[in-house]
Amino acid sequence: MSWWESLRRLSRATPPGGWRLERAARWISLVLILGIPAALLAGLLGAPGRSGRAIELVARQPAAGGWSLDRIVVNRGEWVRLRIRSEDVVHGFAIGRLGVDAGSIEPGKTATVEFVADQAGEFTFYCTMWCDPDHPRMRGILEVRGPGPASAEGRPAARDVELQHLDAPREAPAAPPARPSAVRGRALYDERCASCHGGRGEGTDRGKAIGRRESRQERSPIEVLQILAAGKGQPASAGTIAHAQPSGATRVARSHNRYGRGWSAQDRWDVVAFVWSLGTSSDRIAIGERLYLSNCAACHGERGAGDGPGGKYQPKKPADFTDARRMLAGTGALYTAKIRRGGMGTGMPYWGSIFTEEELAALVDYVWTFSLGGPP
Amino acid sequence: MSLVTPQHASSAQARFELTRWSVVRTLLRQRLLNWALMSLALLGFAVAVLAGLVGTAAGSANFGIVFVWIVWWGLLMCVLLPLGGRAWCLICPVPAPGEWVQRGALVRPPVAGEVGLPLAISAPDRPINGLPFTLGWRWPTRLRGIWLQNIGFLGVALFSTVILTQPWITGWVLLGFLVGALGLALLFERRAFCRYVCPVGGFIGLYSLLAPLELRVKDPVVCQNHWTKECYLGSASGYGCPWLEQPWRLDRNAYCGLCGECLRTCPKDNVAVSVRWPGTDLLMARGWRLDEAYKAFIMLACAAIYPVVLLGPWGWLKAWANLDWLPGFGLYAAAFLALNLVGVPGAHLGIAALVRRAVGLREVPLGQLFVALAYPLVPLGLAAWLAFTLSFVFANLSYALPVLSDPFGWGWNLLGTRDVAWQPWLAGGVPILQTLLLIAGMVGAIGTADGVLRQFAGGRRAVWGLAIQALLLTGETIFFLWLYLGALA
Repeated sequence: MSWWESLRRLSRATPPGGWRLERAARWISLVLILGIPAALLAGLLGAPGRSGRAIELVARQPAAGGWSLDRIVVNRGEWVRLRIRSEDVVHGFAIGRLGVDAGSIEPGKTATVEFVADQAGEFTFYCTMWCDPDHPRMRGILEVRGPGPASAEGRPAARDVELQHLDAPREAPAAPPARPSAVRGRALYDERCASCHGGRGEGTDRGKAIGRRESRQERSPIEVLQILAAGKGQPASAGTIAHAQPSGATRVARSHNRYGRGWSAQDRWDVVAFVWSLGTSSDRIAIGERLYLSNCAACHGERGAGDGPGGKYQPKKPADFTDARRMLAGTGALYTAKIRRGGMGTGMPYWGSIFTEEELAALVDYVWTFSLGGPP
Repeated sequence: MSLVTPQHASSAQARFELTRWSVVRTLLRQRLLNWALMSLALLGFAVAVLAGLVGTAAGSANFGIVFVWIVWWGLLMCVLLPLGGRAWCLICPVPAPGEWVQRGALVRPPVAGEVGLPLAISAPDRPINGLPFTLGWRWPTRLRGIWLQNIGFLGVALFSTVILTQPWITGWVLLGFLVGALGLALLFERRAFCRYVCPVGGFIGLYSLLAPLELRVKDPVVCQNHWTKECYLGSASGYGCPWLEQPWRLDRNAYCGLCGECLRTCPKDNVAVSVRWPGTDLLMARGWRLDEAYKAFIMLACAAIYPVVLLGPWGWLKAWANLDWLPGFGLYAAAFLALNLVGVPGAHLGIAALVRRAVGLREVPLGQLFVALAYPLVPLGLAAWLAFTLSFVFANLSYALPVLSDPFGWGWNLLGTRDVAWQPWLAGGVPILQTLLLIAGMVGAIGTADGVLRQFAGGRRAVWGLAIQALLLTGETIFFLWLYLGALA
């Protein structure tokens, strides 16, 4: 008798108690056996309620492969639904310049972000949580195809400062005796400077505007200090301000000679701190702080001392933003360019394709606070 | 003082028969009961396997890891095993497909003449029952006992750091269990896999000796005068004992899977499920065997190794056990096997020799005493495993809620619990429970040692032996206390 015939005989047999229980049990088992693959299939094909295009993106530590997709291509105007799943540790997901941020994604969890790809070009998506020594390399490209202005991706790294100046050594000839205070500086400023430059550095017919952000882009804090201290024997070295305008600075310093008399070195730094704070705001500092903590603090440290846990994995020790001699010798333009371009061999990634100009400016403003303090 | 009732004290008065209640009796006799329990478990098992194979690689969000190694393990070690002995074997889905194929039925009882011989004395040339491609061979005599289970458990335990943390490996291991059980069911009679191979069944059997639940015949005299032996051979009411036990000889829990077939088949209503004083079976000298003794040593050694590797602060050790560095794993494996197979048994052999000399048991073979004195390790070992289980189950149990809603980590939210945050439960109470359990385990172990030694020597002769044995058991308990309250705290 073949096994198939045995099966058929078995199914025809009528045991005591009838077949009802057995048949019911077989049906239930059959439903269970078919139900699991069906549920799985439903899960693979799409979650309940899913509509439109959804893209599955898996996040793994860079050592285990990083993002499952290096490049995501969508069409301009397309509604995009990204489902990002972390497979190992806590990751984050954001797309630079598009304002898309999924926040942190715990292991095994899935975060969903939805947006309309309304700008053509290439945008960098990246992990926003320190996940691995190679975390800064955990990036991919979202390509939005279609007519429209190209994104800022691929623009020259240093727009405001010539590239050769980016890595030039710099050191201020003097550092503040103590951490400068913009609050104390404001009192001194109001006493001697406000009458010409205006209470918020907006300028008057007797003095130029010094509270604009552009002023900080062009000059370093040490240059401003030297304007106040000129005649007191603290000339700037050529290397310190190689990319600034030394001849102009000397001329201005000479005209300010009498206003700085009687101030101690700390007083002058306090005034510099206040002048520096005029070009920013608490809101901008807050934006910069958020960006710094999620993208920079892992290496540079929460307090900017270059002592973040990720720093030890980098080929060069991360910059110490509390090192006043170094930090106060650079201009805003220099730091903007360095962040945009990256560290070139230091392990610092480039951020030009991720941050907008506003975000870059806010980040630089926040970085200044480590050596100059915040706004009053 | 003894937690364990000595053999001679074991009597009908020491038990309370649960099946005297008609509700319990009727429930346990339902043929649907086994199928319903095993089907539910099989459903969970299938989800666990699939989650392991196709679900998220993040263990804390994968049903396979969370429900097997946290929920099931916690339930098994903290509830089913200490209270119900082999109760899990009644539910276990692993042998279910094989058994259903053997019987050609999910629920219904066998019918004589239906296919082959449905009633169960096995014959090498024909199937016991069920479908024609089940060969129904007898299990080889040389492979009887639980040595294979010991080896299997050591294998799983050796790779446990990898198995417990990587869902895909868990998935394949579970699938291997299922396929192995099915394959053996096609070749061999009844539940050969459960009885002789299952690595989990081995230690469940050993620790079930301690359980306060038992299935036994009510009156052995009734069985002596009853020749048809439906409980072993099967009848129109049920199948012959799937565990190859002869219920009328049953005096230990070790190999009774509590499936209830004998309850259904016994025409004399002479089988009962009862609660009794825990640990009664430990003193049944007839059941003392070297393979079980080795199981006790292995379980004790693993109860010490697991927390050190999995919960300890020694990252390098975990990396070695995790196969991060192959030479390191080689060293770990060598130390692991040496401790399990030589270190712990060797130390106990030395102690047994000391006890033999102190008590003056020259007429008793050392091997016999060595095996007998392994049984006090059962209460201590179970307590150590409970302490280990408590240390991670309550800390991780809250992962179960999100995993229920999203078993594969695909972003589902079936029950609305996907976003329930992890939080440790009973964090402050666990060390207290661990301490109480370990002390209770030690007291039970010393009590068992007392009962064992009294079977070799009575009166004051046994005192010196008990003192030596108590010293050893106390030292082992102190080590576990140090582990949980000191090194890992």
